[in-house]
Amino acid sequence: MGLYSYLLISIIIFTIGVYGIITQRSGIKILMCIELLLNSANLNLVAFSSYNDDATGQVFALFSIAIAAAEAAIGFAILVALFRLRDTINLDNINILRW
Amino acid sequence: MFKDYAALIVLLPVIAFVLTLFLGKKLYSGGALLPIAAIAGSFIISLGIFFEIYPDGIVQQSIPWFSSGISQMNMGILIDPLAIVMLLMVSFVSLLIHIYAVGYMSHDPAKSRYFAETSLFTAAMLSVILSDNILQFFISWEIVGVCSFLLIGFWYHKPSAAAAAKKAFLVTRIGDVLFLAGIVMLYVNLVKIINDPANAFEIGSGNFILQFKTMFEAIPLIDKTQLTYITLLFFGGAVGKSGQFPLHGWLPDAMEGPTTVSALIHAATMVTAGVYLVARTFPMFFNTPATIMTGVPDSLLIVAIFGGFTALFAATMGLVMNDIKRVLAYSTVSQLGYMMLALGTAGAVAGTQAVSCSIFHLISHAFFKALLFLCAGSVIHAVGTNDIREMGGLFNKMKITATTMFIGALALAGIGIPFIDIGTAGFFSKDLIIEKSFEFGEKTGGWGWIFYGFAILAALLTSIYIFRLWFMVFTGKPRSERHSHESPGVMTVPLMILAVFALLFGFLHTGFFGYVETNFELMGVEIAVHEGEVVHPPIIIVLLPVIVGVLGFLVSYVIYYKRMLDMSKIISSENPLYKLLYNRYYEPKIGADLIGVKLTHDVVAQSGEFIDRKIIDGLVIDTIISNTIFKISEIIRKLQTGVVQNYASITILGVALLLVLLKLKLGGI
Amino acid sequence: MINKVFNLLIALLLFAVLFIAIDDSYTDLAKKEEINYISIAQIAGGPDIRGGIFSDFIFSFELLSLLLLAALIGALYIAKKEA
Repeated sequence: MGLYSYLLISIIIFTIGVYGIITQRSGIKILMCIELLLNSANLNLVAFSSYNDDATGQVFALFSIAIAAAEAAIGFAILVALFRLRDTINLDNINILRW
Repeated sequence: MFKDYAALIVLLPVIAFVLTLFLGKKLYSGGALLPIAAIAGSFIISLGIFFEIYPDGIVQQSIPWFSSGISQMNMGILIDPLAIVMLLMVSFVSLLIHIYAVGYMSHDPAKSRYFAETSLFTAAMLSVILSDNILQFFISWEIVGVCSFLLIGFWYHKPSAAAAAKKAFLVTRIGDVLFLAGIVMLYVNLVKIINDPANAFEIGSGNFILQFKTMFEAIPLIDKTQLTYITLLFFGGAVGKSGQFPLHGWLPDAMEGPTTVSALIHAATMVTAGVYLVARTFPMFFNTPATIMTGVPDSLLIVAIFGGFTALFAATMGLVMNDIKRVLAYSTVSQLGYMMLALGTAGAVAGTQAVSCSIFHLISHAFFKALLFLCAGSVIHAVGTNDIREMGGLFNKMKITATTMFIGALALAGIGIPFIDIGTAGFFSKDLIIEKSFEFGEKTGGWGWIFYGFAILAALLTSIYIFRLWFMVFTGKPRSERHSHESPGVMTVPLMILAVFALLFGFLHTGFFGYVETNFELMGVEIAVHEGEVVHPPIIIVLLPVIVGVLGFLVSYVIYYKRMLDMSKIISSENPLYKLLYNRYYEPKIGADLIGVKLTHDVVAQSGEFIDRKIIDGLVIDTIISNTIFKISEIIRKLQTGVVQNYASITILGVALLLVLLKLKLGGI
Repeated sequence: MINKVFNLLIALLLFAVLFIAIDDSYTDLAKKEEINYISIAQIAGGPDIRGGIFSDFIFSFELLSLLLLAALIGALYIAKKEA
């Protein structure tokens, strides 16, 4: 049951992250949910690494963490710029792509 | 030794072009010296090659260029007797005209552009002459056309000049399209011949397809009707470039350019490229079947018809023009008609002698027509107007110009003494063409006499109009108060040199004929291009051209010098014939107004617009189909909310569905 | 409101699919030998992460550092105050 439970946790966290992304209004909350997604993937990687007795999974989890950090930094920078422009973080009103 | 530098004949003027284009303004004398040096270099190399290959050598060099399918194209140089005489003429005349232009264009601020463009033009023309395959010939031909466009529109701020340049380019383009079609047709036929195993035809090693040599070797194998079409298409190109009827309209309009341009391009060199094309591919013309008139190859007959008609047609218009350059332009068109007539009629009668006849007239025409144009330029430079009705009595002030122009007029009218063979260059060349057309008439009879009629009538009219020009410009009382002075030395010296050639070139005719006639044999072409028998026409026929020339002189003398008859009382300006000629047979109106505006705009464009507006738009605007589509799109439009999260949610949904699908189809991921 | 329900359904659908995925593959896995837990004490020094980063995947590691640099600069540029 060991590996199975890790995978299950990973899926649950993933789903919560997805739900958060498609529902939340605030930009910061969306970024936090993105971090959730990335963390669930990392968890998955590490679980399989332990199961396969191979360090590669953990190495990739390390890379993934670094990339998540970079991406979160950029995301926040964009939010800051957006806030400066629109004075709000409510992403419901940022819809210039509409018809 | 000079043979190795044959490529420099073309490259030197090209280098001069590039340098003058970019550095022209900074050079001494506005960039004139560089092209002059380059063309002098080309002339010296051509002279050296001439002395090396006379009497029976050929220079052939080629490098492979690109291959397409099975065929390999090349770039190469072929200098045989035909090419070398043309090279010498072109480089020499171009050199003299450049020297003249130093004086003529001295006040013009854009003269570095002028010299660059004429340098490029000379390079392209030399390349036309010495190219050894028809593809390179065509490419150089096109470059020549472009340079003509640039030079005619040299003073492009004048709308008439810009329009004339455009017209010249478009009309010669029609000819070029025909020429290209001919090349394509030729290529297709050659490939068919090569691929057909029944013919034992192979391109020799070191030879390439589309070289003239290969073309000539394949002539016996080409289907005869195809050969007729190919040669007629080539002639179409020559019609455009050499201004034969019906594509002649651009030449008189091209006089909008500087006079030196008219002398270089439209008298001596570019317009002769058409004649050169027909001469180069003469074995093909000669071997077309004789279906229309027995004993006369078809294409040659068509060439003669167009040439002869143009000769007469243009000469009639030259009678009434009042612009000094227009008269000379029509004279050029007429003389080009003579050259084509020579190729056609003498070709049927005397074989390769036609080529030497025609090219001899081409070269002598180059000399005296360039002379006439440069004299006209000298007059225009001095007086400031082109209209001969405002000139008169210039003889005392411009003696050198007047005498050289008189010599040119004598040469054009073909004055000389027949039986002891002394005369101007035009006497030898033009009168020989008239004799050959007589022999043609004798050989074919019936309709064949029309060519002789064309030739002799045109000779009469030529003599009349050229002496009319001379008398109106240089004699009598000045018709308006215009200051005039003799031109500077840099302009009169080329005039004198050209006058010497116009007088004396004729005496080279025996050596010339003997040399150029061997042209096709030297190329190693085994075609039955036979010599004609030497026929002596009756004495009266030999004398007739000279009589006609002198008659024209007397007519002009009476009317324009002695003023015994006042032309304006005999033929008023309202005379319909006069109006027909003066309006150039309404050709510009037909061409531009009728075809250009009325046909294209009123008929084609407006009907197109009608169809577009009423019919096509009527199908879609405000009908049931279009309205329903509008309503549906209003609904579907709401799908694009613009909120990125909605898009994300749909994406996730899609991924989920995809996984479901995978599970169902493959039974597990 | 309907938006939240719809999104919830989508998320649950995704969860269901993924769950079925691991469930199926785990039942295959479960048929094999039960995994033997290797105790940490058995591996000298733990899993070979050093070999992973610095010899096998050194290229990715260097690229990652480059990526971090780019992200740093990018974030700084986007977020800086307009002068």
